[in-house]
Amino acid sequence: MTFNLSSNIWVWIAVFFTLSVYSFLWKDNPLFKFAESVTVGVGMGYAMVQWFTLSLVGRFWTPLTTDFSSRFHLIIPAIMGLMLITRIIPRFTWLSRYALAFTMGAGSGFALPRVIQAGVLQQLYATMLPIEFSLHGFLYNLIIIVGVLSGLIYFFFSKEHKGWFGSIANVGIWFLMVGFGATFGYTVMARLSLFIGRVLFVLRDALGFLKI
Amino acid sequence: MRRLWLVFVVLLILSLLQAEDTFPPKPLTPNLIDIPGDGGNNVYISWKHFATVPGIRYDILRYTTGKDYDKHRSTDDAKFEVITPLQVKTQLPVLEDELYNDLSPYDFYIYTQPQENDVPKVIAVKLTDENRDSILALGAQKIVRVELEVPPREILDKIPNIFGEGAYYLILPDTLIANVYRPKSVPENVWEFYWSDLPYEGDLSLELKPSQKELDFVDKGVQLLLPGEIEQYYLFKYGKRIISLVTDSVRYTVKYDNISFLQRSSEENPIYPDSHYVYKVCLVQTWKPIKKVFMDSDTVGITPKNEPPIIPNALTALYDSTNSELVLRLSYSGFLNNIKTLFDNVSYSIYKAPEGMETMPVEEDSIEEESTPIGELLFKVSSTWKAVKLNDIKPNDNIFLVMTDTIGQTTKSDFIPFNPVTAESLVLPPNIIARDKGNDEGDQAILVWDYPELAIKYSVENPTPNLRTENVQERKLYWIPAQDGSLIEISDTIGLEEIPYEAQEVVNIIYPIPLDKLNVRVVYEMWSNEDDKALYGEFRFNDKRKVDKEYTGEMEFENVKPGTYTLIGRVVKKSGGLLKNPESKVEIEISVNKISTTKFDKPDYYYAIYRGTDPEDLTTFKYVGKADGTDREFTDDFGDWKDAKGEFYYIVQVIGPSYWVARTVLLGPVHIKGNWFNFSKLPIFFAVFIFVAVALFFVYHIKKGREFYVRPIAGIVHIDEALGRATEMGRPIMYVAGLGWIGDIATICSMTILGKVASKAAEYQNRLIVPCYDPIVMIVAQETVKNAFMDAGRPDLYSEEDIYYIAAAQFAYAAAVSGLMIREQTAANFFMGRFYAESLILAETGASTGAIQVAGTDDMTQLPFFLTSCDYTLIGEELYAASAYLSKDPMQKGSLKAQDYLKALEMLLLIIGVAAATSGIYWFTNIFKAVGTE
Amino acid sequence: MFWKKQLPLIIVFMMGLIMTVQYFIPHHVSKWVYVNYVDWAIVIAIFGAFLGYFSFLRVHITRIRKKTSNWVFSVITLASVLIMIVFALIDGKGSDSLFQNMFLYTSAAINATVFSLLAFYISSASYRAFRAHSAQAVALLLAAVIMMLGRVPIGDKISFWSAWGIPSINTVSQWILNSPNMAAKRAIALGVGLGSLLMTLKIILGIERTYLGN
Repeated sequence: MTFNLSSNIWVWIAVFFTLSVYSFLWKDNPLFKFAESVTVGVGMGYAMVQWFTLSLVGRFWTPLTTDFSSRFHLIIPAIMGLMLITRIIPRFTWLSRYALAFTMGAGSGFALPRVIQAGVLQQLYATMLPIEFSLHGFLYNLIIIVGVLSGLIYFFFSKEHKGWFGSIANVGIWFLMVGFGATFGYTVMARLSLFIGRVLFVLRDALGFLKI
Repeated sequence: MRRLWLVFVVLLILSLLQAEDTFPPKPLTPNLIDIPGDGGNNVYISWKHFATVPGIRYDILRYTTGKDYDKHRSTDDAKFEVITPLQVKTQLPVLEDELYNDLSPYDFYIYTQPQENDVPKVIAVKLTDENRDSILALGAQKIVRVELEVPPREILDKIPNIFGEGAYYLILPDTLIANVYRPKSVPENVWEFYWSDLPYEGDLSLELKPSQKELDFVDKGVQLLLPGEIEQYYLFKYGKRIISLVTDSVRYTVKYDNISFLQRSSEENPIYPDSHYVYKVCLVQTWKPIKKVFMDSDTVGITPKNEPPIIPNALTALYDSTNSELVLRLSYSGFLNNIKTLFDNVSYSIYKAPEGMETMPVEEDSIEEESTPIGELLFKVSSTWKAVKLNDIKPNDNIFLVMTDTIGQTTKSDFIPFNPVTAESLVLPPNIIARDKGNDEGDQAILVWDYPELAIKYSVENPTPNLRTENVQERKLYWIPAQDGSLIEISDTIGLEEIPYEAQEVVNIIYPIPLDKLNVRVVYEMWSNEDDKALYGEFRFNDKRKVDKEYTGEMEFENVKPGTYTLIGRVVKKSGGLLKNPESKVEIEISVNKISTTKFDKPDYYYAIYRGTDPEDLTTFKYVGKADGTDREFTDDFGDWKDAKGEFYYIVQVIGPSYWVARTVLLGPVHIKGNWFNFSKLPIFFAVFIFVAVALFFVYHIKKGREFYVRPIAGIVHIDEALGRATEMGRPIMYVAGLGWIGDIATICSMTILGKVASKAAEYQNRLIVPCYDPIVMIVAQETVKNAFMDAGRPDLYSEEDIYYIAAAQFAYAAAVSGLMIREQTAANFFMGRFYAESLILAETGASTGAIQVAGTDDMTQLPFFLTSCDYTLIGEELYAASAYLSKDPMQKGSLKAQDYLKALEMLLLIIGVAAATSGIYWFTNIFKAVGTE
Repeated sequence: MFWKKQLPLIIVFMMGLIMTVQYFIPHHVSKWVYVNYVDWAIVIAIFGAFLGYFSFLRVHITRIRKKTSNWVFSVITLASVLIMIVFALIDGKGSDSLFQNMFLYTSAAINATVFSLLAFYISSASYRAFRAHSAQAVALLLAAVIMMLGRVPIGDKISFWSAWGIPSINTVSQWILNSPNMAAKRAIALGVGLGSLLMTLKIILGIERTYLGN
């Protein structure tokens, strides 16, 4: 077995922080607090720099100044953005509503037909399965149709879940639970591999066990 | 004083770091090429990148009087500007400990020969008694090892590095590789001669062993060889490409890649013909964490020229004497084909020389505008044409080509020799029309033609593998892995010596034998255009009917008894009916007696499509794309609607396998316009209309003040309990609104619930912490909480420091919120909104502190984690309902009722849809079929 | 009142209507509206981000000034922000710059590790599910266990009963994934779709005004 310690100081910094984060599993401690502060701070610094260079300059200032005649209208959202910032001064808080109104109104209008297309029509289409009189047809198509219908019944809010209605809603909740279980189980392995990834980082990149 | 020392030490260390590097070398042999036949505005630069050179990128620089390009460089360089950075993939350093790269036991020697304007040539030879003196006289040194991988930096730095030419391979006589039985798939045609009675048609598996020749080669032992000195087959099988050859004192690196870059003239870095440019290449590499090393190559200069056009080097003339028709194929091949997009050609003019002129007069390529060649102009087209057909050409006519470029330079071809052929009978696409494409923004035209057609292939398969292995060693068969593969049987006429070096002896053949019940797999393609409204393939086979609604393009019929069956394939229309035209129905016989496969019978011609603006002038017709013989439509996308203004005409050429050509009449004119309604979205339009109408009715109907029952929602009922307990314990409440932005429905609902939680918290006089991820959500949360506290009469308890922006990255947020939960010892945690993978981290940390937790989200993938780790969870729509439920606004409650009625509508549609699908009525379900979102 | 309340709601309604109609119009004028809406939304968000940074800095500066518990860590946080800005100023933010390395080997490494904590948390969550009392929770657990086993090779190896024609764990897990799980997903998606529809409608009509902060 050969060691080949990394000569890159950054790698050792990363190893230190990796172990610091894992110390949180034992209990909250200064090492974790340190790592937490650093990731929050560095992440924020990164975001601020990228925000300034890529967003403020790249997406707003440069297009506005280099191609003013066709992009002059960017001033309008900029004014709305500034109105948003007036929130810092309590007296002018209400000005920020214009920006929010624009964003939310347009966002909702944007979403409305798409919600109907993807959230309703497409889901309905996918569930309109033919009932086949075979084991496969029963196990798949029929179960899906029954599951969707009973699941929808569970989500009825203005009718009491009693009697036959309640029983169907009860079937619905069983379907939901099995579905959640499947999603849960499906994710477990993927999550474990994340940990393996970090262990490999320490062993391979830092300590240099080459043959892993 | 002490500080001064510190500064000194730091500077000293820095200067030491600077001084040590002599490695890597500067980029070697930069070379510039002016692209021939272009407008003088393309430059091609290439250089050698050796495998052991560590680098992160190369910068290509051009001399210019302008900006500084990199502040790390000295002032001398300031006038070079980076044209482009090129990332290089350096090979990862690997430590080798295998013994085979140790060459000290063998007498391999190495020396170099200088080459002009290039790296030296590296020559490795095995010392023999004959060549010993002459080789040693050249100053050759003994090779102690070869490196097949790039060694780490520490090893590279130990001895000087020389970079040279020499594609050496280490040949390793691995008897293990030689003797292994290799399974090999063999095309059926080879075998028909030998076993025509196999219960099987298709590829067979062979198990092979090496021939005696190969075993003899292996016996030769370790060799160092160049590719030309060894058969390709052995090279790939036993050879390993050498990166470096190492002697005691020097490393000769011989493996390199030619890195190249084509610089085209652009706005930032223009290239003008007849201007002089100086280039160099800079290697940028990182050494130690924070230091950068730059290595510049020698400079090279170039003056790009606008050359006259280059005559197509694959220019051929196909002549059919019966019809006196001539097809000129106007295409490039080889290198010119790769760079033809850079040419600035404008047009082809085809001339017929006057009778009696036997040779083309020699003439300098002229730049004059109108240097009319002697002869009769037969045809003139734009230079994008692939081929042209000329009529009424006599066998002894002399035809030649004149090409023109953007600045009017012309090039004349020689007389084109005729290649006599028989014209292919090509069928022009029937029913072809060109028109504006509907439902678009006004930037597309469409050509449609022909009738819908089904193409079918099938295979007969064993449901489970049932293989038989037959030993054929006594027949002395050799398999030759040439392009198509062939077999040689050793007999009296063919001796062992005559078989090729790569032949392998056949030991076993393996083939499947059929079971008594087989599977038939049908694969099909549907060729149709949008006018046909063709939709599904429908198949009948062995009394079964299958429709491929999922567009898998294939279906399987299982457990078919041996026999002969008829497969009927038909095209189903969008409306559910069957198409009536004869091509849309296919009947084929399938013999289920042996395992077999068939292939598609696809047309071997294709369509070339040209678009022009002036029907009289063919030079305005430019090639816009091609369509396969199986295609039934072609969409001509202009890219920008502004380019699609005016009238357009189309010409379609059918180009056959031997390049014969047929041309359609002029199609058009086409006027392209933008549409004001997308009819493919009509079902969505109606759905929006109906759903919104139902919703509005109930929302406003309920407004009139009718109370109705709303079932209790567990998570909401227990908000009071959670807050009460937190107050009892004297510990704060945490409300997490997730990662969503304010436009997420879940976030908006979360804000409503936050209002409720905040007013309860104000009532109990408890502290409420809201860590935020999105700035806008933060301000809305601040406003919501402030209002709730004010309404409860406790504005003094509101603290803006508790509702703040905590982190800008997902897991930084998760870490910070987890830390907060533990440090603040929150007694009640709410997770409402949109969550991703961090959901479980938050919920589990919260659970470990013993807090009461209520969660709610609409994301299926995160719900299970909240369900297991939280006390109460609002599932999907419950989150939305909770927000309406908590609101005092009667219209909000009305929306709950509306939601239930719409749900009933959904269920009704679903039941009808299932019934329709079961009875084979497609039109109903197809209404719901989603059209693509943009 | 008009300026503070009605006008914003009118803007919401107008924008909602314009964007809904825009979806059905393929014409380039409509495309122009769409492209510019996207640009505008981005510019507004860019300015909005400033508020976040302002809040962040204010909270940490206040903590340091008031010397609240753990104020030292606020110093570290602010120092990290400052270091990133300084690095960007002195060394740029190209690949392999100080700025990128600092981000990659501290923040990105920590975030990846925090993400990997999920391996432990999913174990403790599984344990929590094990202690479940209700029958439905048992169903959830059972489905999860079958799914887990179905995803690893051992699932098929321990399915000795498949020799007798009883479906193996892998087969069962595939069935759960594609049948009941699919049904649950669709039921939730259909409900969520309707809920979203109602919510967008309420926003456009000015019934839902939470986001305006009143």
